[in-house]
Amino acid sequence: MMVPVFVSSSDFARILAAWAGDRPVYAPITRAGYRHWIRLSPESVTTPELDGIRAVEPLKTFYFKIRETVATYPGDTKFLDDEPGFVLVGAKNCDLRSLECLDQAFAASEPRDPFWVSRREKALVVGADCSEPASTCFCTLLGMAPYPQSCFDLAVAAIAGGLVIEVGSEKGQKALDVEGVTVSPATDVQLGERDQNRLLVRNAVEEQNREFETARPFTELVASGFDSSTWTQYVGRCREDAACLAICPTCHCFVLFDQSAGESNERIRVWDFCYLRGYTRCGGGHTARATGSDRFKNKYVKKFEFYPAKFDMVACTGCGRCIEACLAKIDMRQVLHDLEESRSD
Amino acid sequence: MINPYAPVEAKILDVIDENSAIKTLVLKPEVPLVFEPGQFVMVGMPGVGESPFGVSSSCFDRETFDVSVQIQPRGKNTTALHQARPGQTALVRGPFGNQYPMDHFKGREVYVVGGGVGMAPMRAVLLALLHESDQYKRIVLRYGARNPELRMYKELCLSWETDPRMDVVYTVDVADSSWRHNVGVVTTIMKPEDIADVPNAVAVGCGPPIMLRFMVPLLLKIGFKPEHMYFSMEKNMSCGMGMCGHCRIGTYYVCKDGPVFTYDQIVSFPDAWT
Repeated sequence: MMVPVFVSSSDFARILAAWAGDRPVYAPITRAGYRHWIRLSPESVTTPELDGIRAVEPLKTFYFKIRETVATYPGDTKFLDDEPGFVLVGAKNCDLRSLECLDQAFAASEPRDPFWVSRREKALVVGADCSEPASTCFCTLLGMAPYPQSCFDLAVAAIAGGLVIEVGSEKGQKALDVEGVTVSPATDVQLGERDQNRLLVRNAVEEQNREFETARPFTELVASGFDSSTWTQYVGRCREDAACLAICPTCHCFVLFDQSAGESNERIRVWDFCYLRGYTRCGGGHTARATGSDRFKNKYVKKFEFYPAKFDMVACTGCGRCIEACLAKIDMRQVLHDLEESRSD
Repeated sequence: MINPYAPVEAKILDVIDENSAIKTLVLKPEVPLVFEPGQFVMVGMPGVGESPFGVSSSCFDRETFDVSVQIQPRGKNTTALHQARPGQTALVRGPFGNQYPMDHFKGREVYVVGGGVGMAPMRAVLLALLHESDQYKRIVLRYGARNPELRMYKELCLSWETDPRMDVVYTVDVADSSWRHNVGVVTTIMKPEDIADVPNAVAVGCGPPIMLRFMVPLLLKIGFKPEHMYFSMEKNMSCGMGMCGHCRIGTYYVCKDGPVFTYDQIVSFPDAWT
């Protein structure tokens, strides 16, 4: 790992302007009270909001689009790799981890999804430390921290006068090579300030999640809780609107459909959600997960049993979006906590 | 990079009426399909969509392959496939999934049980077994359908009755006056005496979930080892590549880790046959 460097705020603005000159750069900017991923204009690069927490939209939307034509036929059997790469500035650790989760779904073995692979290869990802957790944040419950730990090309942490930047890849190292910008090794004082900030935020996330801590890991609770009464308790309350799944940074279900487009035909991929009733309906009309509790449970099984067994990681990053999005105010942390309670009944 | 979502064109050589609900399409893809018994393909009509079908022909036929399509109420693609005519172009992707370990079956008695349209992948297994019949100790088939009309591969089944290499028994849930075989669900024609060397025999089954639920305890009672009981599983699938999420059971994707599973692989998943 290369040593962390320091770049002044004004130099970082120059770096952003250079990036924005030759490819789309997206960063979290607040609009109408919510922080969204907004494309920075090359002419007047807005200052990205690197503090706070993640944006509303999960990072997957850049790589795995809500709706996308994945093939046109007849004739198209090759993947047309014609998109420029993009830059994401200010991705928080929960979103960085989600890319690792989705690498498993789309690129771990053949056949790999060419859209995912190409966009991942081309993108420059700049992580950023969280500065103040929202009440819904729970990355620490999953053994993670509220600052970039992996899956970044660069990771920035705001300190007095500028940014401490960690370099995570060669691509990241090259991206710092901008004319007129001074990149110097970070001093111990600068690193100390960053680490102090990190400790404070981490403690805050841990503190607000004390009430949700369980004696056994979530993975064990879900794996041994298939018949738990917890699942049925949420039936009816869960509206099955799938908002939690749409906003989840690691959910990756989709469905393909074809449509005629003049002389040729298109195959389109759209996001799909396991909370929808028709999700498991087979050709013969049989529905595997026919009851509300089967469907409610499925999200937890997929994230805390299937993923660990298959890919050695949980498919939850503690971003808390599902808690915010739920119309019924169901808190995933509470459901997992209830699982443990129901066991000790 | 190859686009795995893009289909390959396949000429429809023949459309065979199996019964009022099922037609078998004989397809010749632009690029020959190299598959093994148990694997499935996505087949569809241009601009309509695609659906998963277990290949039902012999893996030794390299130029063409068959799929048997059961028409579904409100099923756009199965309706289009049923309306297709020889000479038209269909679309295929695949093959996908794992296969029956035919080498492991060699030297053993192979006990094949098919129910309803689940007979389709069983036909691929049986044709592969018969192609090298001297390699297997015995080939047993137990095939059940709802009624005589709804049976598939009727001519082939007739020829198997007199095939000295096979031991076949057929049944239907509800008979008509022409029916001269057993009446009752498929488990009524599965007997312990069907197999001479049970500890070394293998069972291969495909059928509706209800059939599998009743068949499993019977196979265990007959004495088949859980690791020698193979099933072709069906779940909703969209991509066939382990990405779209639909076909998960327990810690498997049916499309990629299956569709062929041994009983000991899936026994711990309570939702395998729901």
